[in-house]
Amino acid sequence: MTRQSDFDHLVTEWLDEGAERAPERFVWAALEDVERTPQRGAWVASTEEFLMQLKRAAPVLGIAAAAVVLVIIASQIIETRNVGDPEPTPRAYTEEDVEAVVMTEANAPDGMTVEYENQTTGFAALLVPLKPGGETIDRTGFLDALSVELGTSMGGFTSWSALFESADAAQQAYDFLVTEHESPEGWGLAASREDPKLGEESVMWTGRQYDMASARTILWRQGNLLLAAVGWADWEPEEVRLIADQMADRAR
Amino acid sequence: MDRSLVEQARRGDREAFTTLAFELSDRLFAVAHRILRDFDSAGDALQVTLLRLWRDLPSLRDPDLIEAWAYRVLVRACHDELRKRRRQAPALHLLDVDDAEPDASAAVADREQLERAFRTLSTEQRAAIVLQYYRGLTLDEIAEILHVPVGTVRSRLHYAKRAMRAAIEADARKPAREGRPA
Repeated sequence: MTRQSDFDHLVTEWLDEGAERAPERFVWAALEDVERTPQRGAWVASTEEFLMQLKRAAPVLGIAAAAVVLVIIASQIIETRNVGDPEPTPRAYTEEDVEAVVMTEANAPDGMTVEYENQTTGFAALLVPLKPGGETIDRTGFLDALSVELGTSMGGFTSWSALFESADAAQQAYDFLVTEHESPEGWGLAASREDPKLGEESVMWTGRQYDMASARTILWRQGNLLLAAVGWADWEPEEVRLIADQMADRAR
Repeated sequence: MDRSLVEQARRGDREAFTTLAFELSDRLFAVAHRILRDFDSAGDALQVTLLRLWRDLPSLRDPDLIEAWAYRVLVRACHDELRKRRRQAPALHLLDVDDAEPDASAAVADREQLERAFRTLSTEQRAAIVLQYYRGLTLDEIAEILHVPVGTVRSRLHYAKRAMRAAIEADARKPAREGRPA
């Protein structure tokens, strides 16, 4: 027998040894969840019906919408005349922004079919980019985080955001994440570093990370908000960039 | 797989889905157990898979593709399980046969080496190995399930086998080196 067929034989025999039957308790537990879960198609169908009704009512709604727009424009003109042109004040991001900027099935790019979505929130979400077993991130100034992992028709992606009390606290966390991704004790990706030019400071790494042979991370900071877009399975550079750009747009 | 059963379930028939779930479960669980190497994690992956199948079934265009699609959803669920397990207990996957009593049987030693080598692989590599060696699927079939080009499957299998062989050979060399007199 050759070395190759020895190996094939060994692997086949070894894999034949596992469980062959699913314990019924697992199936029944899933079916209980099914009882409580509507199918997505039903929702889509009702939305389509709603859109059809909307289409029929379009002429009336169009006139009403035009009237509303005219009222808004008029009020803006009056307000501008009264108070002049004030300088826009940079706002601090809030918890609502974390949810709004992250990519979910609802705001996924056109043509991307989401097959599954897995959300992690709070401090656990802040830990998602960290290498297991390493130094943990300082919680000082941390408010909230959301990590959404999506299995899609284009590949596996994660959209991530973390909110801090201040831009300083966010910057400290950003520096920690940069060290985590670049140091030999962390993901060791310093050599792949590029600047994707997003937000106030940004960095992009490509290579073995998050237990994947090849992943790409784009991380950036905008005020007191950290954002990241990651491609971790079958990703293309332009897809990861598209997700990052759409997140950046929503954060503006 | 009964096509009419899939169509009924796709239209929201929970009873039809229950039958479908039991028809698919053994095969899905067997694959999950081999990918994850853990009974409870395989059960969790199966549960998640069945729920996602139910939820997204209306979007399945061809009922004949139910099994391939189910495997794809299962592999994603296994990926999540593996990440969750590693994050919760980062050192756990390193604790394997080092601490075990040495076994005289060569077959047991082979299995331990395979187990150790397999645990170094990514979910995608594990899935490719299990689908090829355990389910006996062709590269084309695996590519369809994993939703990746055939070339990607070929490369995953190549690197997975290479990593496993290397780990087995490294393991095999260990006792000889350790046993050498100072």
